[in-house]
Amino acid sequence: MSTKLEPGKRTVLIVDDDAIYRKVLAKCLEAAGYQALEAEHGESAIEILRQTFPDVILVDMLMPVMDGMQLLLWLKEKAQQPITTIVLTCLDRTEVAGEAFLAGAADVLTKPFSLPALLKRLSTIV
Amino acid sequence: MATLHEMKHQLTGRLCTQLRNDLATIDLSWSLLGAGAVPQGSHKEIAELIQTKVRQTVRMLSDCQQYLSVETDVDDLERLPVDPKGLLTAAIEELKADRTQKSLSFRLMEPRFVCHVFASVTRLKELFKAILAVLCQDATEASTILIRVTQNDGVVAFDFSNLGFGIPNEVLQQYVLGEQTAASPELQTIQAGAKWVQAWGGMFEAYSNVGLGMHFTIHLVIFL
Repeated sequence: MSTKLEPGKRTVLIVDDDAIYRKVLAKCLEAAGYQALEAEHGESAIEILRQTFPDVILVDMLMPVMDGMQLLLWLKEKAQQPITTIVLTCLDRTEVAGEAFLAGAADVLTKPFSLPALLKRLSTIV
Repeated sequence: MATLHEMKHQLTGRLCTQLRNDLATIDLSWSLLGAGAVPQGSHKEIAELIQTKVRQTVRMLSDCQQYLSVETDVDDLERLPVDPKGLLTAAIEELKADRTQKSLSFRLMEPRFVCHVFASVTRLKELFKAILAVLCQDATEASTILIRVTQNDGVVAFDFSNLGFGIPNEVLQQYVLGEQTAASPELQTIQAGAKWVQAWGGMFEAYSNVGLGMHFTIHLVIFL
């Protein structure tokens, strides 16, 4: 798979197994001036990361094949350089936040969150 | 009844989690339409995405309503959405307590979150325990029983294997998938379990290699 990116545009990789959610979030980010990449689980995200380097990763926790926590640990241990990662989860924040921060997450947002809240968070990162 | 109550409690928790995800999609879609940030031509596509998500959500609620109904009684326990993670952990713990004489260890590899699957809430643990017991009996001294849980394409797969003496594969197939009466109560449970799994809509596989050990796999259909 080849991933072509527009130079100079901030890139966000969305990792979530819900295809509709991914598509809608990608459109929201594109409308806000980002370019979005999509992966359905941790393993396909790693495939993309072997070819390109996004500014931020938005990662879900509950996914088949390789879940969000496994991806966070992979990023912490094996990524070529640090990438800011925000966890977007439908689990209780208290359930995942501690472990996610230890694994390297920059923030944890609980679904459903407001789009302005996410964009504000992104603007402080990239 | 306590088991049924626990099942409903777990299912409610899982339902809330899924609803948050679906609400997030619907909410983001409306934000996108409301912000006027997308071209008019994309409005129809976004509206269709919302409709698809709403349809999925309504279907899920309807399915859950059936299983959470007060009329769902112990007679319905044969095929329900169950949380297999707790059952597997409990089965391993009970086996650990029983099987210290061979210094066996258990290695469980599983995702942090495992989906609910269709099974009998009472029989799935019984089957897990029987498989683990057979693997322990066959295992070589101080070896490891491997349990690997993976989920993909609407199915959760439970792989159980050991390093053991094994039996000829044809014999195992006759015991487990054939009609021959199995030699031990645990193998008899596995023999019955292969049919239970089929009734739950899943798939059961068993394999043995003399001198290497045994391998059992249960594939169960994901509910939520």
